[in-house]
This record gives sequence, structure tokens and C-alpha cells, in this order.
Amino acid sequence: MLNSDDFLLEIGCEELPARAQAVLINALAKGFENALVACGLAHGAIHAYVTPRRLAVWIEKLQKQSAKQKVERKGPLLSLAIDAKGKPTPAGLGFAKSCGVEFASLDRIASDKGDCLYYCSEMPGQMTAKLLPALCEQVIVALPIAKAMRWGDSEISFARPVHWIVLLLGKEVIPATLLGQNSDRLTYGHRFHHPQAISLDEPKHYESTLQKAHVVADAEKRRALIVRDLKDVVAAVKGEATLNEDLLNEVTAIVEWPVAFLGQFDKHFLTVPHEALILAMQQHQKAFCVHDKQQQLLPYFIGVSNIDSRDPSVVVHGNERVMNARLADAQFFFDSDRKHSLAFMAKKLDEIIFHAHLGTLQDRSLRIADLAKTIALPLRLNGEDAYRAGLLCKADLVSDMVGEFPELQGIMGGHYAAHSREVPAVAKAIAEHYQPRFALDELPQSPLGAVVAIADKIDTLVGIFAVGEIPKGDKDPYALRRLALGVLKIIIDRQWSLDLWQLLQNACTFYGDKAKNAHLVQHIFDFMMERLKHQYIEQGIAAEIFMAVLAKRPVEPYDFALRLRAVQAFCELPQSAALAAANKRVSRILEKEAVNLVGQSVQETLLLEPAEKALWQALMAKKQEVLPLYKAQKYEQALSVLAALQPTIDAFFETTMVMAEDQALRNNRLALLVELRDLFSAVADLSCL
Amino acid sequence: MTEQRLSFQAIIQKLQQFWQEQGCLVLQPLDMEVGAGTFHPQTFLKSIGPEPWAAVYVQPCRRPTDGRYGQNPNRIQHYYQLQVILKPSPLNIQELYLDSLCALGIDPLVHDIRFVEDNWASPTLGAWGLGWEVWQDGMEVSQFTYFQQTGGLDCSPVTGELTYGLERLAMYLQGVNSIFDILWHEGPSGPIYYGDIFLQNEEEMSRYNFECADVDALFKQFEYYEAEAVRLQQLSLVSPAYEMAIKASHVFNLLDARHAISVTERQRYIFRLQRLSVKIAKEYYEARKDLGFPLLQKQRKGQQHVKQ
Repeated sequence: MLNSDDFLLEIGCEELPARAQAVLINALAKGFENALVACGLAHGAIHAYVTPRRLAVWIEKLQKQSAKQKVERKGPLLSLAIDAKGKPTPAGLGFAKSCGVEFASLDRIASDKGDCLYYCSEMPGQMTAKLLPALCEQVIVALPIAKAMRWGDSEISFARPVHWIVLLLGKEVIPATLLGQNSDRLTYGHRFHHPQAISLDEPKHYESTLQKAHVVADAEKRRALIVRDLKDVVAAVKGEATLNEDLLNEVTAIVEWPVAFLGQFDKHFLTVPHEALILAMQQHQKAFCVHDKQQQLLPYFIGVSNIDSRDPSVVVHGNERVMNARLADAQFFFDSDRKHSLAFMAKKLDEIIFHAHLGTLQDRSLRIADLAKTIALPLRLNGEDAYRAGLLCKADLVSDMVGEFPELQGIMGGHYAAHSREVPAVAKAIAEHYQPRFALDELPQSPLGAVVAIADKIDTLVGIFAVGEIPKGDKDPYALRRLALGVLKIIIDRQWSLDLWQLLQNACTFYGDKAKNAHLVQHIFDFMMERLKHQYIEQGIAAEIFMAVLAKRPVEPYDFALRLRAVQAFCELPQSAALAAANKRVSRILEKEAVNLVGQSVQETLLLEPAEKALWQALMAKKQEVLPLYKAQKYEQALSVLAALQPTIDAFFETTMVMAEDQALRNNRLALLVELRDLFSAVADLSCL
Repeated sequence: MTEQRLSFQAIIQKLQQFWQEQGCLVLQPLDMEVGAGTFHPQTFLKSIGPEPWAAVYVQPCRRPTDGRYGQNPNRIQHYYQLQVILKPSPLNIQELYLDSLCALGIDPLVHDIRFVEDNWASPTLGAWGLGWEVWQDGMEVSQFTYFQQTGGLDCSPVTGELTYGLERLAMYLQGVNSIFDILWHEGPSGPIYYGDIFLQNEEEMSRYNFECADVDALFKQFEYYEAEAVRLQQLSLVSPAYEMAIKASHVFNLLDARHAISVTERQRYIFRLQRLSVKIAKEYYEARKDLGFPLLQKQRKGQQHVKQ
């Protein structure tokens, strides 16, 4: 396009928070795209760049002048705009004023309510260069800055202080003041490698110009470079770098010129639990771990520096020293914690308040222990082990290691339990009982771990609901939603036949006076079902299917899941639509007649029509077939057996008048429908579909 | 290539020298127990209101819970911060900071120096700000904060606060692995190390903080200092009221080290301290306003003087 030019905006600033960068640059690119559409400006590809010190957008082939725009406005009805004497009313004059013209120059146009005033004009196209300052301002103001700040004595706020603005259309600078800076063509390279200003000639040279100034502006390219370098560097030690996604994103966001290096730590630290070492490396030092082919941790780490150092060994040695100090700290905590048994630590839990109204962590541990035991016994798991694991599962909260690395709660408990010679199943259960800790986290692997995980979560749910701190909107400080779903996921995954209602009731009992509200169990049960619904809907299951199952109020989550799967399969059957309609019809009829049906059963002698006889026989036959299936929770099979009834049911409705004149006949037919409904709705209320 | 190792006292001197050349007053430490240099009235109070300020000082800090009986090479309950306060924060504050590292012989083309997001908040001071930890080859050597609120008041203009962790910087510059091995000064009678000066103190203070501090008496002290702070603030005696708040804060830290305050109680105590800070901040602002913000006047006169 001849009448188009490339556009570039760069906001140069102090080091932006790593997590904010992706959000900001996406919003900036999207903001321009939307704003340009709104102005009717055509453009080519949009390229977005983000580094710790800059946000930039290069838009190819931006139209230099906007198209003419037709402006049309409909005014009030003539009957309202002109009075009896033919003079314009205030409403008529007001419309003319708002269009900026005399009343006399307005046109008329027909509408379905009658003729009305009409204004039409053509706005000339505007020069893009003139539009851009306001447009940029508008896009920048709308950026979603999680934590904005002010600096110096300026009233401007942004994610971090802003130092320069590059604003180019083609080879020209568009004069503007954005975020307190006058636009120019001057950008800056790497903070140390290229601190001098660089004059940009035109937008398309942005990336290559910065590359020469030690800045890889494209975040994706920087990320790829880091991945490549990690592999290169690690080759020296026959290991592999653990490519943690979050860490990779974070590291990409804190360098402009990535240079990876291999560091080494004292190998005797490998006796410290590896979870602690990994945390210290990844989270605290933002370094990658190295493992061998057997996934065993090696005494190396890979750091990514932001400098092509004149003496790389200085950077390596510095990082090694810090890493060794960090790990020495972890070792120190690990050693000092192990001077006492986990049971000894558990005794100190009476000094820590869980919640002002719900007692100490010791009270909580005792409740978890009791509850875990009641869960374990019917599942034929070792009740004493469950009790023990419950009792000790919170003990590591008083350890120095968890004080330093809170993320290791539970995991350290598992290590200390093993060290204190607790049985392995107990140690494993303690280690796993916080799982799932986030949406996609693994569930506990061991049965006992699952038991304690359920008990722990149920105890929190009951306690916090009992004191009325129910999640609202985005306020869920105890993460009750996650806990509720965690319990359901574990039970369903384990295929355990656990009565959730009973479980909640038991948990209330262990709280004694603190949880005696009559509706408490009902509230929590409903809350948990709501979470289950969300989860299923997220997985793409129709809300009606969920509601059909929920109508039966199954109290066992695994049973719920089986029913849901059956209904889902049922909906795939060719007969399902007709059957759902029939069930709806049945439930509508029965709803009205419910009063008359008490104690009524089908009498074969009163069956007159062939279709009703056929239906009765078919129902009886299928009943024999499906009752054992229901009992064995083979719901899917049961429903497919019943699906065969579809032609018989349809024939019945086509030929038989349910609401017959004769009272006895009518009641008999209604009783037949009750049989039909009961047979079908044993799995789910299919009339919901 | 052998480099002359900078002693601990030489590091302090160089940094003070550097910032003096940038126009900072060289102030002296506060003579009270504080957990961080920010508590010094020359930071906390001076960051309130419109008056300009530029100062550098060393502040000894006490964090009773960080004591390790002198056993841990990286943690002590009494240490030193070098604090730089620039109000309003100049636009080149990062460059100034980096120049100060150069003054210590740290070459940014050799070392990997990074500004890593770290948002600071001191609930007890009713203060928060945004900024970074500064990393040098993976070691956090400074805190860099743009104050947004102090004592619950919006900071306008914004104060830039640079806090150097002197021990960490010294360990790095001297290449030692323990705080106690930091060379304080090489005197005529040989080298004196950090441990020579402070190891015994660390052992004894750790015992005091964790085992011997009189909990009942401390609780009473807390109540007393808190009540005094309120009473004095009502008399518009800002400085004495603030000193009482500082004392209450240290007593709270000691109680914390003795595990005498439960988790929920802890929040309540912090809130009580914050209430004091907020009241005092407001009182200070009003007092300065009544005086016509003298430092602002002075600055204006100074600028006129220069113009003439």
C-alpha cells in the first residue's frame, strides 16, 4: 500500500516485574488492534516486544489517513419535534443543536412509528499521524497494571518509572507526550553493554537495531535462546536441565541478553531432601536444576545471567557461593529439626492458633486423626495408621525448615516421620496429605495419603463454614473451593464408596459445640456439589446432565460420577431425545395428579388397550433386567436396556388416552406412568434433559 | 591480579563519600533499637509531606528472631544497613546506585547485576512501596524501594530508598563465606574480624532473645509504650511519641522471638503498632504544615539564590 507506513511505539522503563510483562504486552497489542478498528484504520501484522526495560509494538503498513465516515443520526418523531402551529418544539431544537446544525437543515426519514428527524453528514478522513497521540494515550491508560506506582514529584503512574518514548510513523517522529515523556526516535540498548542512545531510523529496523545493542527484544526468541543455551551448557556434565515452565518464563522476563552458565554446589548437600534443594535453586536463586538419566538430582545448577561478562568465572563463582550458602541454610535447618522426633514437634502445635474460634493446630490434628480413622476403617485400611498420620500431619509446621520454606509443608513432615521411625505408610500419608495443592496437582498416591487428605480438607471446610466465613466472589482465604473439589476428586479417583453426607456429619461431631448448626451439613454438601458442577461444566459436560443426576441427590461422589457417565452415554443414544421428551411428559402429568395416586398400583385387569398392555409387560420384563444392574451400579448398561422401550412408550402415548373419563381406568394408567417414571429415574431425573 | 580487599569500615566510608558527593547529608545512626533503617526518623518522618530530603547513614538493626547463637554463617540478630534517602526520587536514581557500586570497585561489565522485583511493605509503619532486590551474581546486596505510602499517607513526592546490606556486600567483596570472617579493619596490630567484635554478643543476645527475655515484663512494657505514644501524640509531641512507638515495636519483636504471641494475636499486635504509626505520621504532617514546610521554603530560596 502506497498510502501506508509502519508504526512503532516503544515505552522504555525501569525493570518491569516479571509476571506483569506478558499481561502488559498482550494488552498493549490487543489495545492497538481494537483502537485501530474503532478508527477504521487498516493495518498489517502487529509485532509485540517485551523485555524487562521496554514494551514495544511494531505495526506494519498502517493506513496513513482514515476513510471518510458517514455520520447518521435519527431524531425525535415529527409529532414530537413540531408543534400544532408547525413550529419546532424544544425537543426538535435540541436535536438540531446536538447535531450542530440549524433546525431547518434537518432531513426527515420514515420509521415504523412514523416520520422522524434525520441528520446525515460525511466526516472527512483524518490523518493517522494526527490521531495517533490520543490513540496511544487511550491504549496506554487502559493497560491492566496490577500495581501501579508513582515516582519523583510527578503524578504519572505506571508499573515502573518511564524513561523514554519512541513514537514513529514511517521515518517520522509523531510528536506526543506519553507517560510524562516527549516522544522521540531515541532508544537505549542493554543497561551495561550499550547504555548510549540509539537513533532509530524506521520501525522495521527496531528488532535488528536492538540486537546489535545486546537486547533480544522478542520474548519468544529470548526464551528459545535460553532453552538452547541450557542444553549446550549442561552437555558438559552428562546431565539434563529440568525445564520448569514457570521458571523459564520468569528467567526470560528478567534478562535482555541471556547468557547461561553452569554452577556447581557441594555434593554433600544431596543428603538434604531434594525438594528443599530444588526450591532453593528454582525459587530463590532462579536457577535450573540438573538431573541424570535416572532423574536423580546432580550437584549442579544452571544460572542465566544478563551479561556477556568480561570474566565469566566471577559470575559463576559468585553464584556458587550464594547457592552453597542457601543450601547450607537448608542443611542447618534439616539437621536441627532432626534433633527431635516428629511426635515431639507435634506437641508444640498447642501453641499455634488455627483460628480464633476453632482452637489450636493441636485440636485440629486430633480431629483430623479421629476423622481419618472413621474413613479408613470401612475401607478396610489400617485405622491406627490413619489416626497416627492424622495426628502428626501438621507437626512439621513448627520445624525450622518449613518456617524457612513454607512450600515444603507436608513434604518435610514425610521426611521427618521416616526419620522418626514412623511406619512407611504413615510417613507417605503425611507427605501427601496436602495434595492436590493446586488445580492440576497430583492426587495422593497412597490409600492412607488419600484418607488423611480427605480428613484434613473436610475438617477445614466444616470449621470455616461453622464460623460463617463462607467464600464470596474472589474472597476465599482458606481456599475452600479448592479443598472441596480436592475431596471429591480423590474419592472419585479412588472409586471409594464413601458417603459424603455421613463424612460431613462425622466431622461436625468431632468439632462438638463448635459446629452444631442444624443446616451446616446441608450447606457444605451443597457447596461441594456446586464445585463438582463447575468442574464438570469445565470439562464440557452439559449442565442439564449434571442437574439430572443431582436431582437424585446421590451422597456418594463416586456413585455420582458413575451416574453422570451413564447419562452422558445415554444422551448419545438415538432413542434419548424421544425418551427424554416422554419422561418430561410423564413428569408433567404426574405432577398435577400426584394427590390421587397414593397407594395406587397397576391392575392388569384394567389394562384395555393393546399398547398399554404391551407397555406394562415390557416394563415388567425390563425391571427384572435392570434392578440387578442398578444394584451393581452398572447404570450405563441399565439405561441402554431401558432405551429399547422407546417405541413401546411412543406407541402407548399415541394410542392411549391417559386422562380417560373413567376414574378407575385413569388411575390405573397413571399408576402405569408411575412405574415407568420410577424405572427410568432410578439413575437420574431424565425429565431434566 | 591481586586486589586490595576493602575492609568493612572502608566500604562504609566509600559509600558515604560517594553519596556525600551526590548531595546527601551524612547523618548518624538512631540511638535506639530498630529492625531496619527505615525506622530512623530521618527516613520515616522525612518521607512524609512535600519537603525535599537527601541523606545517607548507617543504621545498626536488631531482629531478635534472626539470631542463631553465632552458629549460622549468614544470619545474625544485630547487623548494619547503609541507608540512602532521596526525596523526590531523581529519574537517574538507578544510575546513581550503580555508580555507587562502581565506587566500591564492582564492575557491571564483569558482574551480573540485576533488578529483581521485590515489593516492600512494613505493616507496623503503615508503609509500602515498589521496587527491587538488587542482585549481584545471584546475591541480594541491596533493597531498592519507591515509597508509595508512609504511615498510611500517600507519598508525594515519592521518596527513593536504597538499603545496602553491608555484611552481604562485604562478604562478597572480601570473598568470605561467613559474616564472622568479614575483615573489619587491618590495624597496626593485625586484622580485626567481624567475629572478634560481635561473636560473643551474638551468642549472648541469642540466648537473651530466645530464652531469657522476661515475657511478663515485656508485655507490660508494650502496654506502657503504646499508651505513652498515644498520650504524647495527643500532646502533639511527635518525636517523643514516635520514640515510644519504636520502643513498642522492639518489645513486640522480642516477644515474637520468645514465641509469646500466637499467630492471630500477632496480627492484632501489628495492627496496634500500625495505628500508632498512622497517628504519628498525621501529627507530623500537620506540625510541618503549621511551620510552613520549612525545608521546602529553604529549597526555593536556594534555587532563587542560584538564579541570581
